[in-house]
Order: sequence, then structure tokens, then C-alpha cells
Amino acid sequence: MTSPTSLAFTLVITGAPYSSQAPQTALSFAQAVIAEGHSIDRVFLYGDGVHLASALSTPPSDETNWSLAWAEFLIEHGIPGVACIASALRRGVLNSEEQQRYERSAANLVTPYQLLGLGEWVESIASTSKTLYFHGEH
Amino acid sequence: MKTLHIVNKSPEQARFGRCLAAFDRDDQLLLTENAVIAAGVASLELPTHCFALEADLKARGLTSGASVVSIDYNGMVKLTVEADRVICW
Repeated sequence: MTSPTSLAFTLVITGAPYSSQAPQTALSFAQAVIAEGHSIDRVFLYGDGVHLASALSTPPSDETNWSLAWAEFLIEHGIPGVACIASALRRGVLNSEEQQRYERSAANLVTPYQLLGLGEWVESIASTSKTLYFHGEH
Repeated sequence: MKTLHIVNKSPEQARFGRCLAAFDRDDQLLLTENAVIAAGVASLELPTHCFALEADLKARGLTSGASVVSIDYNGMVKLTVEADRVICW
């Protein structure tokens, strides 16, 4: 489906939902990337951005659930989502493997995210055409 | 080499000033999120090739004025595709 002029993007989100606009801006941008006929290689969550991968985020029903909105977008378009494992563990975002390893009471990593190291990030940046960062306010 | 600078910090933040300081004459500036406030600050001198996200202007009750071109997210994608490199401040 890609035309010769289509590019592949890597998006890195470092701003948290509800305390920054980063996940919102990044999602609108990502939707436009697809609409313009380009593709997205991977979406990385780093630093406070990993809060986007928490399944326990429960905003009021009349507000957008950014965790859910992003997860649905990634699944719909088959885009791999990666949360930095070092950022995630510190902020209480765990998959079942890490839950067992550290004997915590719950796992809360949203499908389809994976917890991976920074090697994945380096690899993606090296092979992608454009990398964009969506930062918080600081 | 044409660089697209994307800044999301409000104009009073140090990083906004650093972005302008790193700006080359042929570069492009895209204001997003709280940075669009700069489009409404008359005393602030913005570069010639300056864009602002329309949704963020609207959300803050601002209009872009004569020197800033207001664009949507598709326009933002086009700017990033056309740029040789992109810096997100």
C-alpha cells in the first residue's frame, strides 16, 4: 500500500498522559501519518511516557482514555508498541513476567505493548526514515 | 540542509529561546501545544518560515496572525516529510 515517496516514522513519547499533551499530539500526528500514506515502524514510550501503557488508568467516562485510544490505534494498524523496561519498572508498569520476578500484586501492561531495553530504540532509529519526539512540558 | 524545529514549550521557557538561537535562516519553525502562545505575542520576533498547529491555536482561543501559517496535523506530517532533519525541542 506504500507509494515510492512514503516514509517510515518512529515516534517516541516521553510526556505522560494527563500531565502533558504529548500522547494527544502524538496520536493526532500518528493518525495523520497513516492518512497521508506513510507508515510507523514503532512507537516508543520512555520516561514518564510509559504511564500511557498502564491498563489501570481510569479517567472519568466523559474524558478520553489515552491509554485505550493509543492501544486501539496500535492494534488497528499493526504497529509495535514498546515501553522502555527501565522507565516502566520504576513507574509501576509491569507485565506478568516482571510481576512474577519481583513478586508484585498485579501486572498492568496494556496489550499490545512490550517491555524492552534501549537496544530496540537504537535499532529502530537506525533503520527508520524519521524519528519524532513528543515531550512533556519540561 | 533544511531543519524543521518543532517546539511545544511556552515562549517564556528557556528551551523556546534556545530553539530560536539554534535557528538557521532557511530552517522552519513549527509551534505546537503551549508554544502557539508565541503566535499571539506581538513583541516576539518569529522567523520567516513559521507554522502553528491550528488545533492548539483554537484550544487556546488564539489566531495565527499574518506572520504565522496555521496548519493541521496532515500539514505537520508534510513538513516533517519534506525536512532533511527534524528537531523536537
